[in-house]
Amino acid sequence: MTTSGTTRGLQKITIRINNRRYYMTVYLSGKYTVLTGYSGTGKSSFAKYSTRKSWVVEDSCKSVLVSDITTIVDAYNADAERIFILDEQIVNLLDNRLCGLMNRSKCRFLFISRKVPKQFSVDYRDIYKVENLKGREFATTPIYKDYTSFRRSNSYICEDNKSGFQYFSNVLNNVTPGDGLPNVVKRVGEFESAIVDGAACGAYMSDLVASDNLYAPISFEYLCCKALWRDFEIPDDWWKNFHSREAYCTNYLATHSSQFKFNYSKEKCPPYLLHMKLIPEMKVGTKLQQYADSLFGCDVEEAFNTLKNEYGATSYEEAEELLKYVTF
Amino acid sequence: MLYLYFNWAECPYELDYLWEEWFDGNYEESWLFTDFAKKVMREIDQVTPLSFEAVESDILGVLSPTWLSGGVKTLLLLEQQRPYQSEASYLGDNCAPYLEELSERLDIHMHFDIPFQFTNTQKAIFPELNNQIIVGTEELLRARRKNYDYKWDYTWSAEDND
Repeated sequence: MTTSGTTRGLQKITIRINNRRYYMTVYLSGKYTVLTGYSGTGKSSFAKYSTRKSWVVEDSCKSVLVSDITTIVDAYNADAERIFILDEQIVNLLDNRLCGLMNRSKCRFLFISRKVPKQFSVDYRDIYKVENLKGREFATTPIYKDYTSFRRSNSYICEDNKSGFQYFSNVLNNVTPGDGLPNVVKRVGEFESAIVDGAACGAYMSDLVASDNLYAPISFEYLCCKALWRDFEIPDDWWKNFHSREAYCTNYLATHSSQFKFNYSKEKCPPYLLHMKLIPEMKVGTKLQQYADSLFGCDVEEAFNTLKNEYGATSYEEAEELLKYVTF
Repeated sequence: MLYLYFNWAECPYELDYLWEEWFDGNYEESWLFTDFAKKVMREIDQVTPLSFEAVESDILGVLSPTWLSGGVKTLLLLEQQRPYQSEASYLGDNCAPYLEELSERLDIHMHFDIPFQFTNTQKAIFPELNNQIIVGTEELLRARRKNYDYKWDYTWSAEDND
């Protein structure tokens, strides 16, 4: 098994099984990766073959086929090098307690199931289908296209009803809180656009794609981090300590936002973020953002530090107030 | 006829989520040699049945019938009228024409748990909607989005984790 580079910020690991009859590559890009697709494309065969170590060509990582749910307990204690493969029947048996163990483990999991389990925060970009390339060679490709570019509409339904909704209702017109993904799925036909967290909507994605105009960034916190820190990227090994990319971004924002003298919480969007330009397609933004844009190649943190050093601004409010009198 | 249920608990039969395991331990030779079984094995898995113990795959060689795909096993079990409820997620979208063929001659009860792509001529009865008959994949999926409640799913929801 090798790490074969990073594409779109997603780490990819390849497993190849070659017994001269069957050759298949599977990409594992998140903590939970889902393999789905037509019947008879070799998903379950892949799971069975992956346990035959002499047939696995690239094998620097141990893969474990979960044949019994008690094996999940091993995942909790295992090292980060292991990949646990769960076939459809095992996925159906997972309960809340096992889900908690899997979320806290340092391993990765591959679900081979058409039904994406709802108790896990699965990123829609981590859902793959199996395709027959030629003859006996199979490969996996992402099942959904990219939904991270924003397009303006007349009405929106927002999955979040807390900080994310507070922000989007502040900068867009006609935004309705969805109060959870199941409700968004039910009402998606009533609105022109739907705004959801891409890092957690995998289980509902097959219904959500019915929306004409879907906007699914990783999460609201990811947009905040990208706006505040120009070089912010989710590291490739985020899954060792977090169960989703959203959890990583929330933790990062909560621990690093104190330098701007505000504490981020999911319950209430800080006033400073309410006026920021989080979506690149938007034209408005805070004074501090505009100031950062005017200083070539600066991000918000660097602009804030400049104001702090030159004018003694100690908080974002002071910085905003100061910039009312500064021409840039 | 195909009977679809939004809520799995409304179905008159028990939900069987260990269907593959049950097939592996209980299949009979006659199940593999019906015209329908031979057709679905060939079209979906590229497999020809040889005997009770063996099927021949174009790609993987001679195998045990326990290596058949989940979709084919489900169709074979449906043809044998096993008195259990199945789920739409047991079948890949490429099984839709065979499901339609089967539902024309047998009664099939199925939990509509994923947005399965039926054929455009598939007829289905919804007992939860006063036995309303809906035809075609677009209409069936629209009915699902409107009426499906995710609390009816037997798996745990993400909210339970908080």
